[in-house]
Amino acid sequence: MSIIQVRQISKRFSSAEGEDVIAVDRVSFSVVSGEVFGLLGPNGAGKTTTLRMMLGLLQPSSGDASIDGCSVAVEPDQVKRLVGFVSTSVGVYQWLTPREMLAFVADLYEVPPALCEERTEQLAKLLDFESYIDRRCGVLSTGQKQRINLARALIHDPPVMLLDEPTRGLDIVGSQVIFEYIQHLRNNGKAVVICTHRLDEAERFGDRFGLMHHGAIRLVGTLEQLQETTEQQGLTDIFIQLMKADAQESQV
Amino acid sequence: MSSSAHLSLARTMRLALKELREILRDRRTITTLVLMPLLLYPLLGVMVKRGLLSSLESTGATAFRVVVESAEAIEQLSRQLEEGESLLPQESVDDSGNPLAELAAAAGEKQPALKIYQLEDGVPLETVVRSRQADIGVRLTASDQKGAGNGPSFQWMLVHRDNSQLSDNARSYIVRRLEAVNEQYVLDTLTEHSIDLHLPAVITERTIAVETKQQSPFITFVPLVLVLMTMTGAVYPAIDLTAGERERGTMEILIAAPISRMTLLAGKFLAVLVVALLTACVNMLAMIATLFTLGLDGAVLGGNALRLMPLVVLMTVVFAGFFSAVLLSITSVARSFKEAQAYLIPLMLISLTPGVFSLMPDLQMGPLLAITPLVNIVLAGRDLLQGDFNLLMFGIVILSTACYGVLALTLAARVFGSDSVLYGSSSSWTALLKSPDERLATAAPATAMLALAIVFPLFLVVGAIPSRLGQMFALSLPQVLLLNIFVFLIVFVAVPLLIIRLSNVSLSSALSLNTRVPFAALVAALLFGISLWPVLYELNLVVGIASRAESLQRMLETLVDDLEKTPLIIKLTALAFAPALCEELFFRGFLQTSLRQRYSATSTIAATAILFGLFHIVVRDSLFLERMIPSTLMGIILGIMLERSGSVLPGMLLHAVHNGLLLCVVHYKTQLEQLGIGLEQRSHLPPIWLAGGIGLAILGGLILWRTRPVSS
Repeated sequence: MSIIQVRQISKRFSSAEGEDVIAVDRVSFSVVSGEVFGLLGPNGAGKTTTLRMMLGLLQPSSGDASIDGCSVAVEPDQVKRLVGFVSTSVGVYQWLTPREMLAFVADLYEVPPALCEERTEQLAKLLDFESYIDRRCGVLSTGQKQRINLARALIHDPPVMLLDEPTRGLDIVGSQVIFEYIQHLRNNGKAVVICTHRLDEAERFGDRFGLMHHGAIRLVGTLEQLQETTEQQGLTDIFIQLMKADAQESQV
Repeated sequence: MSSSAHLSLARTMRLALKELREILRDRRTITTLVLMPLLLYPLLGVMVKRGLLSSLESTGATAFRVVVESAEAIEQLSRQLEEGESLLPQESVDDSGNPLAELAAAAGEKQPALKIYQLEDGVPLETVVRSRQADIGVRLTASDQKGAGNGPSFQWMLVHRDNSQLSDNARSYIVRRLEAVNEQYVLDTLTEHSIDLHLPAVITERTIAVETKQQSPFITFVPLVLVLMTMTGAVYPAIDLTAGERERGTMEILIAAPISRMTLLAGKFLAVLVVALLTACVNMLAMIATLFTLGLDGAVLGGNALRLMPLVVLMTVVFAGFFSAVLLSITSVARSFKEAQAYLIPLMLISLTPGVFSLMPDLQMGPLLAITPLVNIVLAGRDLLQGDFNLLMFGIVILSTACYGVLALTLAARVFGSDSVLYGSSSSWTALLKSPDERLATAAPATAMLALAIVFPLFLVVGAIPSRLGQMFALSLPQVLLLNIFVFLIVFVAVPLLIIRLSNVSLSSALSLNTRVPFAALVAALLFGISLWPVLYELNLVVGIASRAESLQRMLETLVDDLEKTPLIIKLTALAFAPALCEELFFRGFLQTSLRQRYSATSTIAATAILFGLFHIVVRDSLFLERMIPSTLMGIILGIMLERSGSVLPGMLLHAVHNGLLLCVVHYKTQLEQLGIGLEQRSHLPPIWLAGGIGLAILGGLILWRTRPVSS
């Protein structure tokens, strides 16, 4: 039974010129617990918008998404409780320590203080930030802040994780932390959706992939299934072929 | 209903504490909060003191500068003035009430005094006086050292400027003393010749110290300075907690969490309010300390200022609350610090305009100014410090400001973290103003608060129109009463209906217009309607302050004759049915139904009843605080009625029967008096009436307690 179900979700915006722009066009996919689903595509493909609609940060123009049977349109708060969200665009509170910040976020999710302390210790060990857990977040490096953000998303122990471009701006060490984190999520039975345009990285951590272009999912499947369908080796080659086909189609 | 929908006080406090921790750890806040006032006030204090002293000098309250042409003139003039001074009766005027005199005394200038200078050779005395180098010139035109009688004689010519208060004061000072010398000479001469003196008119003087209204121009600056400094303290945290969150990328953490935006905003509001109040407190302390240190407290604040401090603090709290909410609503729209600052600069400039109003001494606080945002606070602050304020106006200022604050906060909650702010999508901006696509069962609590914020000032303004029109066009009481019905319809019905329409909410469910009413609820409503008035009447007697009750009675007495002549049906329509229908639709139907979806029954009923009570304390142009308790009690019963019956209709019945019965009692008072029951003399009701009332009310309560809404 899929814990994440996205059904025909669409988002339309009005551009500055007043034109109707379709950012996401009838996207559907599902993810089971313990599976890592890569939502792949170039910048502007509609990946992040899809993720935001799944979490209720943006209201879909049509369609729906549900987490563990809860519709994001009907029970937005319940959906938010079930989801952890990581994005490089998410910052940290400059004047709080990581410990204080985790306690604050735990309070937002109504995690009891004792349980919060326990999880903070576990996450500090897992993500190796014990040494600076009581230092002000404002003085931490980018990589250290990213670790705090990864911990922040897990403080309420959600069954579903949404990761938006998690390795953007990170060096090799920082990216490696992310890969280990994703492995940890998989091992703990979380259903994970990761948006990225780094196709080479995606191959390393994804179980299944959805290739997005111009707001729509064009291909869905495991790497083997995609290779079989497209007769290409890597995800990058598969995607280049997809874009070429699109270009030819639009010329015709 | 999800648990996150509740506006938990404990959670809001925790949110506020986290925000405060962040704000107060930032050194920039501390700089604005503490260092600015510590630097600003001593500087301002010194400037004010210099200004005051120079104004004292301009009226000669310190020392007159006198020029003479020779050493002999100095010697003789000084001698005669000293002699005159000793002859003048000692004035026993107590200067302690005059802050300016106190200031001058503290500055070491025993007022008034003379400083006599000798002119340099060749400089004409007139030139020196004309050029204001001296206040007066005294020329010795002739001297007779031997004197014809008892001693030497001198002729003095006083040279002074016209149109100069200072020069004129100096002239009077000298003339008074020289005349005293002359009078003494006449008296001595007459005594010497044994002539008995019987003057036709004997004059003695007695000066009485009168406490005058503080006229110091500096007092008008105090509210303005407080307003500006409170704003300064609140601006940075307001931007930081809204646009700052967006810029740092932490807003997504909040919006992705299962917590209502109103709770988030309430936490942020509390934090900004605390910082604003801290800033105001530091400023007030720095201001008072500076004034005391420089001895300016009397001159700037006047004698009453310190006694009025609690009211000034209350004003500051209200203002800080209002401004914090307004700032949050504006900065919530901004996507960055820079954008927020750009929005706030015009607001700061606009805020200076009401400050100018406070500097106009002739501008009196009236109903319109009392509900004009910002202007009302600055004027109320000025009037408070001058010890010259009207309690009704003060109440209106406080309540209207609170309403504007709530309005601003609900708007902030609507905008904070919306698509347009979070991701900059332009389409969502228009969506904010559009009515929602989905039809809702009840209006959101924020929408109800918005309606309340509109209805309260409207009630004050529109509510005064019928009696004004009555005076202007000499309308009869029935005509005024019929106009009152329109007021009720506009304020309590039209506004919520418009808001319900715009919010795309189902009318019958939003107003609890449920026609399936439990029969028991109607019986209970009838019992309460019949029984409550004797109880509330007695309660009025107990809580009502006699003098205030009399003034209310006096006010109503003017209407009594007209009221008696008015047909009962008009009275019942205007004073029983219309209020029952309209007030119940708004307070119970709209407000309570909307708040109930988020808050517990107890807190919803209590909040609605208090608001109901507050609306009832305004009677024509006076404020009757003693009406608060009976009206709130009535509001509680009406609130329980809605909660138990699930419909607004039994409440309307209760309200109409209660008001109608009271009107009937007054209408048929002659007949009642014939039966030996007089209600005009503010006497207690016959015990049997009261006992009957209480008994029926208890029965109504028991029936209501067992009543449940009819399930759909």
